[in-house]
Amino acid sequence: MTANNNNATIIRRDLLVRLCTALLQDKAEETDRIPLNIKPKKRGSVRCCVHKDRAVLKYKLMSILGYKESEETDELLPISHYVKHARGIQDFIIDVISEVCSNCPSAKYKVSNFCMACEARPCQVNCPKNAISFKSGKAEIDDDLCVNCGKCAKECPYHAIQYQARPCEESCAVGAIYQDEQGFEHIDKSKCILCGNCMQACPFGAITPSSTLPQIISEIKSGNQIIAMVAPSIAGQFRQDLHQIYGSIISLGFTDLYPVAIGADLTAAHETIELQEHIESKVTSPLTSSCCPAWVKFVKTQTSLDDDIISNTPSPLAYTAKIVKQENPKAKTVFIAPCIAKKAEAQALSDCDYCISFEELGAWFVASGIEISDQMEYKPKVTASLLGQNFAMAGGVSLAIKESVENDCRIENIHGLNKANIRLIKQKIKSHSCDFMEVMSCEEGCLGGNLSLVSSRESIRIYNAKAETH
Amino acid sequence: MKKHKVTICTGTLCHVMGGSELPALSQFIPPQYLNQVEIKGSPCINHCKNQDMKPPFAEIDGDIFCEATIDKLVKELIKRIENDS
Repeated sequence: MTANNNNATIIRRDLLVRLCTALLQDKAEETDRIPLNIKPKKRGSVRCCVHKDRAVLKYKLMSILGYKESEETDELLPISHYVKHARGIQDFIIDVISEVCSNCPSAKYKVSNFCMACEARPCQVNCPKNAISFKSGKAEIDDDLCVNCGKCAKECPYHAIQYQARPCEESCAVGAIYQDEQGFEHIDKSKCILCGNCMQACPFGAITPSSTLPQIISEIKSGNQIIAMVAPSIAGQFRQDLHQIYGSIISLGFTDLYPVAIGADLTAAHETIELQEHIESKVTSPLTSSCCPAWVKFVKTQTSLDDDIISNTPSPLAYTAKIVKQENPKAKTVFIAPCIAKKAEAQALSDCDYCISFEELGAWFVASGIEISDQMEYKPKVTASLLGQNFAMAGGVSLAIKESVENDCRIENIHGLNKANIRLIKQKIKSHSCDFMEVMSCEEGCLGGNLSLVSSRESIRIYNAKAETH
Repeated sequence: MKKHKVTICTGTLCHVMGGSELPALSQFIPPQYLNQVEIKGSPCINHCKNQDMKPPFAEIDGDIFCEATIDKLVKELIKRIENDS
């Protein structure tokens, strides 16, 4: 399933656009109609009936507004009630909405009707656990013996053995998502690293992150000073010139805008010093980057990895937010971010008041009727170097360090925190095969952030096309 | 030779609602047909005002295509080109 090209993603964006439209027009009551407008009777339903589809949309909206379905004490309370009392991000940024979760059957290999009960029976012969029998005339798998190795499926000449997947659990590299006795999925917050894989993998859209858009829009409406801090990876999200994108953000009502790339320059400088000290201290493990909060959380949750391998250098966001608050002590700050993990990082930072994703930004543009190509350019007061801007890409941190580090050092960069890469990272750390390792949880780094508007492939294409013209 | 005119909406709404890859359409058209197709991007082509149709939008020879995908547009173009001959 392509993360950016499926109806679950589109519905999430549609909900954000409609919610945002109602907020901008001060018409909270209109939100009660959202499920009816998205799922009109004539269009048929995805689930058992159109009414279930509509209920699901209500729970997704509640999740966006910071409410768990378990907190719904009165089922007659309309969506507009939650809109009027929007809570923003609570302790959970992502959670599984049980009403939306489809109780996917457990992951296992199953024999289909295509089985011909052939003479060769390679499934049975090659099964390392003797889990296959032919009691009923065709192949049968004993679930108690089967270890899901998949050899039978590979061997069957009729492709009669199929793998029945449970996408969320399969996408999670840290085993943080599990099914309860009723069959509903839950996220174990002590294990979850907020990589966002489950959100992208769930074909029912049961994981919908919370949003602080209602709070930000109300700050703007009250005329408060509010400043946007924009992640460098925004350049890969829209085809227009970076300054025109900035102009569009200003048009939303922000008083000023700082590129987070200015913080990236400071991160690179500090990281270089830290790396030099690290090499000179002859520590026997590599230093790893601190920019990606999902990677930082991963190291902290793994007992086999020492927390000291993460550099102490503050992230580009932490630097930028500090500068913005120092220069504008009364202003509220909003980070515009590529992913879920950054939302969590922003929430934990005292200098950062709010955070929205690229997806929420896109929905806000649509709801405001902003056509980016019609907007004036906006040039921020402070600008970053190209190296700072390049923190958007996988390998950007390494590139900046390589430019300035004096010692000879071995640098690696790994993006995509999947099971295979985790093995690779652990091996490299253990063998000390490099001095510095940049790790990004998303494939292609922040350009492939999990709350992007475009696929990582497209984001890179847009980013590179801009880099060539500059 | 008759050229089929494709207009892809590059407006912000279509970009956000799933149309971000449509501008790359030309890369997916069989090379032998490329000279019979004229592709241009245009900011908002105004179909989003119609609530009965879903974005992203594109037009081929003036006909509207909603929920447009690269696949859908390429198939339609091949059909039209093969009808010409």
